[in-house]
Amino acid sequence: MSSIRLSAAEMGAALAKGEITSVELTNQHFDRIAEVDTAVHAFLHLDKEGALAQAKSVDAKRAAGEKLGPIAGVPLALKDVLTQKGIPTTCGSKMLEGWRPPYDSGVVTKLKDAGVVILGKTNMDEFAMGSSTENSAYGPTHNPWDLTRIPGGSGGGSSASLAAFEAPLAIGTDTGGSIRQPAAVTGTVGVKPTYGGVSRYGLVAFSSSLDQAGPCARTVLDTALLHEAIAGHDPRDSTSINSPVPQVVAAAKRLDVKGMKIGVVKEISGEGFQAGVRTRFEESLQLLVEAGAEIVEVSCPNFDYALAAYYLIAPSEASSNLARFDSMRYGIRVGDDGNRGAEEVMNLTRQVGFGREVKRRIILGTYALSSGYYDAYYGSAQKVRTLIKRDFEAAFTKADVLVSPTAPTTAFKIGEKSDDPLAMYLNDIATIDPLAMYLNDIATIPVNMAGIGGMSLPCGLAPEDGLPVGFQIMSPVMQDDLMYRVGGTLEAALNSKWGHTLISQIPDLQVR
Amino acid sequence: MTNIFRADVVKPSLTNEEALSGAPAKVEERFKVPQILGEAE
Repeated sequence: MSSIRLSAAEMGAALAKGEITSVELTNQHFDRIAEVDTAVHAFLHLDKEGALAQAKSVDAKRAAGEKLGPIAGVPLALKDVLTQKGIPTTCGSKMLEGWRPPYDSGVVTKLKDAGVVILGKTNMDEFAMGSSTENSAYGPTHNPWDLTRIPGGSGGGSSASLAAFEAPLAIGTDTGGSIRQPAAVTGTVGVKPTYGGVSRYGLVAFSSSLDQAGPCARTVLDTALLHEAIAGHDPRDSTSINSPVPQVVAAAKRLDVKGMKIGVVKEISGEGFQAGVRTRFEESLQLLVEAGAEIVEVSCPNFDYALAAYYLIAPSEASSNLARFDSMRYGIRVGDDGNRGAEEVMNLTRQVGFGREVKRRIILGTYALSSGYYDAYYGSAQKVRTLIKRDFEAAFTKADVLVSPTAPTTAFKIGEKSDDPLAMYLNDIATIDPLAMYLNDIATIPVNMAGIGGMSLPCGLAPEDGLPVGFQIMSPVMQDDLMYRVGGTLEAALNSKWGHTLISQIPDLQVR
Repeated sequence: MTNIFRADVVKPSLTNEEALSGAPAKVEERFKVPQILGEAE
């Protein structure tokens, strides 16, 4: 009897009762991966040896009567942007092919301490730049709901591994929506914690002022359990917040929103969004009202500029961060024939090592930071960021949490939007076409810009295409527990309305 | 706004071997890099 469809909390309970061992549970997941991952392609690397060693060690501790945490012995899929000592870490890029980092990231250290079993590294858009996982140098990941569709991005490998029952827990990172949008389009749960809530030590930087690692799972409670395992102060990350971790597990279990004020953000509440996305979003609002919450409309007028500002700030920081890939200390080196100088070798390496989307963002960022344009572009974008922060502050005086659909559409087809990326890029910024690639992140980006917390949880299938829709909940800085409280309540209300969970409705994977 | 300083205490860090473990080329416990100065024009 396979246990792979249980929640992580249920697996933890079964392990605690001795109904299953971590080694058995881990092997069941590797069997599942062997069965379906040729079709899904969620994983870039599997660490069977390390995972089974960890599982064995947790089993031994349990047998010896040691007190273990709620997810000790439970398997997890790790996004390939976080370092794990001795395990390949590519960031979905050719640039880091073959690199085995000599140290554990802060998140991995916490996972190991919590007894979590890391199965392997998951696929992603190269250096986390993208919304579809099509920008991976190692080929796209397929959405388990429909293998011809994208699993979201950049953390599409992590979200797909959850939906395919290859892992009950996963780690993502979110710079503009890379945890929440993949969760939305795969019918799973993903949380971007408050900026500084989870260590960025060993998270390969894309845009340092926006990047945040966070938990992904199939239920709100599982996400909370993982959140508490990885959160907390880390002196090795200078932006890490040194204050108590919000009590998100208790909040997820509370199942009560009586008297809470829930703000619908007018600017991202559905205008121009797919009809079925709006339908499911509005039904969910109704369920929250029935559960005792009060819905208020709030306006955040500066959100209109969020996308434009994001596409200056993120590429600017990326162009600086990615300068480290110079082929001198780690990563690939191309063209070093003994005659070429260092600069020429760097150029050749970066030509070969980086994909098109990464190059595009480096060029855009370098331009935005150039001496004559710095104030006009990067400087203005930073001012917009302050305005967005103020919009949130004002909104949070009227509501405890804010809500919106997570993404404007359900999962689109692989190749549908990436055929002409340059046109797509320019079109998106110049015209407001809500179906274009960059606008996938229109509702998620403001959260990163302000450094607050954001969650996406599944709220149904769109009637027109039968694909999952995500519901986003945003909470103030270091009050992540509020979004878990609302998320847990909404999840329970939806499950009781349907009589089942959404993920149980996923079609069986057709694997040849 | 407050500055955050850590205690001035020596802590373990990567060994020389670990730091060089990902190097594309190395020589005598150092990174080996292509010629940097005096490149031909």
